[in-house]
Amino acid sequence: MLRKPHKLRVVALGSTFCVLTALVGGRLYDLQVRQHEHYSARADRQQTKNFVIQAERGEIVDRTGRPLATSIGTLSIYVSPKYFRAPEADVDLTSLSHQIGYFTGLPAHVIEARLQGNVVTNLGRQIDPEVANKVAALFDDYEISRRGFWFHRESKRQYPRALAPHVIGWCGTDPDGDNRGQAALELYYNDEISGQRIEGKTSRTGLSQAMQPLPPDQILAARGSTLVLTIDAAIQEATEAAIAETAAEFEADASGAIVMDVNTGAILAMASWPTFDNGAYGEYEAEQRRNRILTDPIETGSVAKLFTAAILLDTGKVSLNTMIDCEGGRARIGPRTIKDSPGHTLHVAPFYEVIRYSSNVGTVKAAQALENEEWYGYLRRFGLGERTGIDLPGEGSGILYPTSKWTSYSRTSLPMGYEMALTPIQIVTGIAALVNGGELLQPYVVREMQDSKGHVLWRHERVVRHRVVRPATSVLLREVMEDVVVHGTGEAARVPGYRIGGKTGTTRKSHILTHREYIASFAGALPMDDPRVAIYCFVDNPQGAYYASTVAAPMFRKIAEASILHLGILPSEPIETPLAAEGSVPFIGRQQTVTETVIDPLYPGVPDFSGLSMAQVRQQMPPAISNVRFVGTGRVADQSPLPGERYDASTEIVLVFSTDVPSAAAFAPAAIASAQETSR
Amino acid sequence: MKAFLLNSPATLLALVAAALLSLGTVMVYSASGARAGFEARRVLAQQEQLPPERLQFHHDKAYLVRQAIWAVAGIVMMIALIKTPIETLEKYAPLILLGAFVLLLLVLVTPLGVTVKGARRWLRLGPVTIQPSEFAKLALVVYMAAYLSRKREEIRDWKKGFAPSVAVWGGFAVLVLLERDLGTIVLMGTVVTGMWVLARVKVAHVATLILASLPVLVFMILSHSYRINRILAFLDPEKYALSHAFQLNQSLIAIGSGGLWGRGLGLGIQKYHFLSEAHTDFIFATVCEEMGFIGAAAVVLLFLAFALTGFRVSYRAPDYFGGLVAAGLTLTIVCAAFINFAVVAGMAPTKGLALPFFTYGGSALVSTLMAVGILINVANYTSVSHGGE
Repeated sequence: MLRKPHKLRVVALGSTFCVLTALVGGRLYDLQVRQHEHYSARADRQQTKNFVIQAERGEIVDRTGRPLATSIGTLSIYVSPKYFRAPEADVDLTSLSHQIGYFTGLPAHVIEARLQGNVVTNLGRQIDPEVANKVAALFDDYEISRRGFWFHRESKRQYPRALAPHVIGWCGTDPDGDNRGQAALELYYNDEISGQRIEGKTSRTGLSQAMQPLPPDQILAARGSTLVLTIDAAIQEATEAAIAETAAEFEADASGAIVMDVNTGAILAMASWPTFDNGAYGEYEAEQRRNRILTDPIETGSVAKLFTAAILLDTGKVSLNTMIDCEGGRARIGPRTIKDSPGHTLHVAPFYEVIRYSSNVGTVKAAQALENEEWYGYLRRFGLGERTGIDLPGEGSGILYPTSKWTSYSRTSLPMGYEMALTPIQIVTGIAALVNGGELLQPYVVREMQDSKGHVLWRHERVVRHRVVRPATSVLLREVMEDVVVHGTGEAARVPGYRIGGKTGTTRKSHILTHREYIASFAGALPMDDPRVAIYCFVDNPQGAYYASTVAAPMFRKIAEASILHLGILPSEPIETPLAAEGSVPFIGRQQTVTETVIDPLYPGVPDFSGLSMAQVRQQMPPAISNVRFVGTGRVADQSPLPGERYDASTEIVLVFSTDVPSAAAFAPAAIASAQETSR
Repeated sequence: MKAFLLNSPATLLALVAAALLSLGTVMVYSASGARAGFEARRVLAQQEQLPPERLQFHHDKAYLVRQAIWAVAGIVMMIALIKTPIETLEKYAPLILLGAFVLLLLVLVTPLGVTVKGARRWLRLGPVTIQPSEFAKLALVVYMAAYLSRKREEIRDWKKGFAPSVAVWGGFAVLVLLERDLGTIVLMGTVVTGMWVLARVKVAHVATLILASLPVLVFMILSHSYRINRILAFLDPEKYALSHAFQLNQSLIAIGSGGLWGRGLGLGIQKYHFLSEAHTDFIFATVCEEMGFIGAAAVVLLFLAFALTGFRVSYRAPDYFGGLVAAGLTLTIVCAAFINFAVVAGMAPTKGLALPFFTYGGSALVSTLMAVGILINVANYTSVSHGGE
């Protein structure tokens, strides 16, 4: 047994450890609770490191995924010249400069001058990584300190197909490479496709390694979205070739063409000449970089007669067979004399022949039936004189004056496409509306946007801006346009086996008075039995020949052929054009306009067929009408002429059927019953 | 139940030891996992020619597994020592010390000795490496207790009582010093002094000895620049933050950044190559970082509980040897712990000293568990004799 003093000492020892515990506890409390902020800050300072994920710009691909713009990784070589001139390095700068220049392409004297300087400088930017490695090996051979040179990753924008530079645009350089869109799509969608430089903090170890590998999600997030265009690289290529060849053949100042899907508004091709290389945009003039399709207002001339015809037919002011006296191609209308171009002289001719042979006299005379406001309203509804809203920057609005600014010449100029200047995109959008059933669509070049993993972020929805003309008018316009190609000025636009429609336009530039300059253009669509694409092309100031039928129509044909080939459009059965019907009245005679047409009281107005099925239509059709055309299936959605309009034995009734139309019988059985009685 | 625990120091000791052992083993995994993972990746990278940074960080259990095996061995030894009659220990104390000295000499003079980081402390025996000084500590305490018990009547006599014990201590100290293990000398010096005081050696004798050894201690410190640097670092940690005091600073950052509740078990960051020896001498810093002030205080209090229970066993011991050996072994464990706390928290100059139960290392763990075995043995002895009364 221990003795008492021993026990006391044990107690003393125990007490000592209680005191020690208090001391250690106090110290820990001081460090961990009172000084926690201080040590936390110190810990954060050493335990985190900044990281940068460099931006990667998204690709731009055509509608089938063929890349049109892509970014590749390159390296830029930076040096601190003092390490090259260090006494122990003993480097012959001249020979080194020559060797570097051999790899990077920079002139040797420039390299040497930079190495003689005192500031950190680059010896070549956006160098292929393999070449950069060779330069690094070269530096190592010269035993230059590793501190004296380093590489910075930079992306380089490339346009592998060199197609559609006006649509795609170009990029400027930021510290991480080509990532600042400066024109066209590269600019318009810059926010979406530009990569993001992601800077953040990550935990690091005492050996400065990042604790976690950089999260793959963030690396992908740094990549911009991919733009999938509506442009078809193959059609675009053919279109660019066609306008360049034509421009060269006729020594033209400029040319351009655009191909649009008439049912969606998607642009399949858009080309301007003169063109440029967007990979080296700095070496070209603004003249070459301008997208004429969007910017250049063109006095369309006779192409606009299609709009005039559409307005006249839609309002019922004329029918295709309305006879118009073209007075042999020269007539005084209003304040001035209108002349037709020599060639095909018309006297009294049905309206479709007026368009077929592009008679100025006939068109202007017929258009006098229109009221100013109604007329202007139609033109505006065709989208003329305003931006189409295409997803590209820099679009112009063309020129179309409001009626308040019309002059005494306006009513005679506008029908044949003068006194208004339209951009090619406006024209092709209007033409598409003419043939697609009458709806004005918003054109677009970006079909969808995909994130860096390929998921679709958004897809362009078909945007109908509004209805321009009735479906029946559209059917008639298709016939008019096809007739022009079959019999008229557009023969050179024909593609064998296909039903093509279009209209030529030869315009003398009205603002050039000293000499004659022309713009030859052609607007068309195909196939006319079920239109898929509308094409507009123009040649500015062709030399030698200037008529659209010889300059623009063949160019149109090349583009049409490419569209047929690459869209896989099947040939249609050629049909006898229905417009050759004989014996047409009413008649617009000398000094007469349509409103003065004498109407035969024998014939009552055309019945209202809307909502009827085909069987019901047959029952109700007045016996005097023999010429009826059915378009589509379902119930009648539209008709031409409109209900109540006068008709005669030669009048062709066009009925457009649609499955969307509810049955008329459901709400008006009595009307049908009485109509049936009348017909009996 | 509560009364039973309080009245049974053996159970209390076992529970405290079990708590410390569990916590310690978990912390070994937490603090060594990253390092083990790094080593495993380095091997992988060499084999598969992969750059190490390409492999994900992961915790590897290599150290944990080894520590667990040692813990099992230690528990076996502990049980064996609980079963060994305490008299046997007393009787064979000189032999035990002799054996320990022989092992220490083997390290120094035979090729079996292994040098790590300039210190020759380890003995390679086939697949295992042991550190004989860890066991020599136990042997010294047992022998000293036996000696002081035997000479209890003459202990106040310089020649007959005190001087021989000083000679034994001196022999131990020289051998350990040759292994460049100053921490163990400081620790055992404290422990032996405590035992002397308990054994009622004349205070003047002890004081004289301490005074006499001070120049020796100073000489030992000055003889090695790293020891001077450690003192300098301790005196001005901010000035030497990137050199001699780097480790101390990293330790303080670990402790301080832990805050009240800590980053969470396993979530420490300092162990990723900031805090060297995160799994050995500085493991307590990781405890502070991951479990906060609350966890760290709990560990300190567990050691205090261990100390008080140990002293209670000593106090209640039925015989002189049992009382001294219990006090000596308790001191060996808790002095090591508190010196470690002080070093890690920057309250004392850095010296290589393990935190019992926590620090990764087989010999230290086994010797600690053996000490616990002897303590429980003495405690049982106490209860048995009490039962007999």
